[in-house]
Amino acid sequence: MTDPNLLILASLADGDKHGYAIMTDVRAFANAALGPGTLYGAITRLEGRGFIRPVGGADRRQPYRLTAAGRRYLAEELAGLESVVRIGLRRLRQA
Amino acid sequence: MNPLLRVLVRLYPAWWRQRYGNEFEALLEDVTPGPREFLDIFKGALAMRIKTVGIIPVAGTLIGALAGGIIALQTPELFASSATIRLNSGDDANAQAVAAWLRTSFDQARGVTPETKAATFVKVQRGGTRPTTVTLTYQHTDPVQAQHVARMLADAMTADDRSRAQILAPATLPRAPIGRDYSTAVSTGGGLGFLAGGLIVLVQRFRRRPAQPV
Repeated sequence: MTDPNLLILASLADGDKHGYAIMTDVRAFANAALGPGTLYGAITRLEGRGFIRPVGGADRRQPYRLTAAGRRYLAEELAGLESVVRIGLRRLRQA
Repeated sequence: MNPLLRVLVRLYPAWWRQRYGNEFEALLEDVTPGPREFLDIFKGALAMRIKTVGIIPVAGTLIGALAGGIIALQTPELFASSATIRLNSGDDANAQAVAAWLRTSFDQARGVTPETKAATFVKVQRGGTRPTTVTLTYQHTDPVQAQHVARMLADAMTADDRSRAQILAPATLPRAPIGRDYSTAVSTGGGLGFLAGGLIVLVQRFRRRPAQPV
């Protein structure tokens, strides 16, 4: 899994996070390193599509929150991935 | 913040920096920058530029900058020779007097073609209590020729009235070439490439526009 859009949405699924918190969370749960340029490129896209939105932060670090549209999109994408994983694993076992 | 990171952040489009610049810089203060981060931010800036103006002007800029660099690499290296003249006049602090002297002595220097004069750098230093000096620099692919022209110009400018102007430092024989001007070549090439790319986009939009009903 290397799609930064999905990684960010999955990271925000359990609560608001700012950029650095997303980077460390993604490294922990997906073992994927998101660079600062990649992260903010994806944040720009996701905010533009209405999947995330900025929420009030205490300092210059800007936290983001998953919107209802973002939650739906993430659920659809993960369901699709789950199907691929399930079928792939079944075929591996049968081979 | 790391100075190189600051430069890379400036590569992002203005609208993006206005919206995300502050929080992006806050993130960069938390991250330990390495080669991978530098490259990632450069790629991010490039992607945002493409998103803003389209791929064609950005590709044009990169191709133009590359072409400028290659052209600069293939131009012969130049040698620069300098000669310095000291002005002895009492009113050497007067800018108008120096300009008048330059007009008469430089513009009317005998035995030097107008093209050579146009290619000569003239630097005037008026330094308060110090005497005013004029440094002539001429560049050529041949160091001996560069020295010859700088010497000829300095001699011609001081020949008429040595009580007013004297050669302070004779024309030098350059031992090493001056560096190639990559930055001008790359920025000019990049600028022309961007303009060409923008022109292509404009032409494409114009051709796609539906014909107006008569």
